[in-house]
Amino acid sequence: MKFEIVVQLKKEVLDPEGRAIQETLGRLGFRALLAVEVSKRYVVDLAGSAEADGEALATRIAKEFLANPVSEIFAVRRL
Amino acid sequence: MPRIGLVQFPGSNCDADVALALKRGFDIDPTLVWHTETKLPAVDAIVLPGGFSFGDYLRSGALASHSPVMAAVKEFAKKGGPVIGICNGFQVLTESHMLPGALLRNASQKFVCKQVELVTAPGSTVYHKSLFGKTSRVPVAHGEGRYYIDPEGLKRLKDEQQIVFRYAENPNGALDDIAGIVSENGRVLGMMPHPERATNPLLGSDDGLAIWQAFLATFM
Repeated sequence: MKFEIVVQLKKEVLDPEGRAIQETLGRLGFRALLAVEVSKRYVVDLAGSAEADGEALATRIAKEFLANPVSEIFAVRRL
Repeated sequence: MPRIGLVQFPGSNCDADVALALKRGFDIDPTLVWHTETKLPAVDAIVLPGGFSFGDYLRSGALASHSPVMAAVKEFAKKGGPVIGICNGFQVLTESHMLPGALLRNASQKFVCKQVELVTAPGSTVYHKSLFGKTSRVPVAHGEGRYYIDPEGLKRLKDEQQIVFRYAENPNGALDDIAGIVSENGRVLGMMPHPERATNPLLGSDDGLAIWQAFLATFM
């Protein structure tokens, strides 16, 4: 059972990588661009068949390990 | 003779510099502690050196913070044992929640490697007291040294006088120019600049010796 975990910086935290990409795209003529957010995507493959258990485990992995609660947020989704 | 444990993670690369600084500056031979150890040897203090533990994978210091030795280091610090984490060692300390906040990608997106001036903030720990009023010239070398904490956290750091070092000129976008902080009990210090690289005037500065002296004074 696969779950996708996406981790990114909190809105209030400066994302210099996103800003650099945004500025470069702006220079290339993509004028409609308002913002670029960079995130990291993890796919975890979990044993077991109960979706609720899998989601709880994936959420625990994200919360306790993959994301830093000080600076990041995450989202979990069943694939 | 003070007994200092020097923790090595895969990818640590300032461990030899720290050992040399302690030897030449204070005639101390630190005991190397591999990261898979579950117990610390009999030591008075612990150093988490700089480097790129686990290749900075996940986040700088994140994987190292889950190394077996860190449970022992946490236990040691909980009992009041002095710990200093430098650069990647500071990142390991924040990732381990032994110090508040996080160290994020430099605002400039660039790796910054240069001599900086550190201003010591007022406070009550031995670091504050012995270094206050001095400006220390110490090099930084990092890509992810931008200190971040939420507004309540920053207020707490200020109220509790946990900020030890601020940059005279901010090289990385760190909040409030923060270069180094201590834990609430003043025993755990984390700093981005490298005092072990400022221990010989021939290399530009020996101001780091006073920082090591303060570290030793936490238990001697």
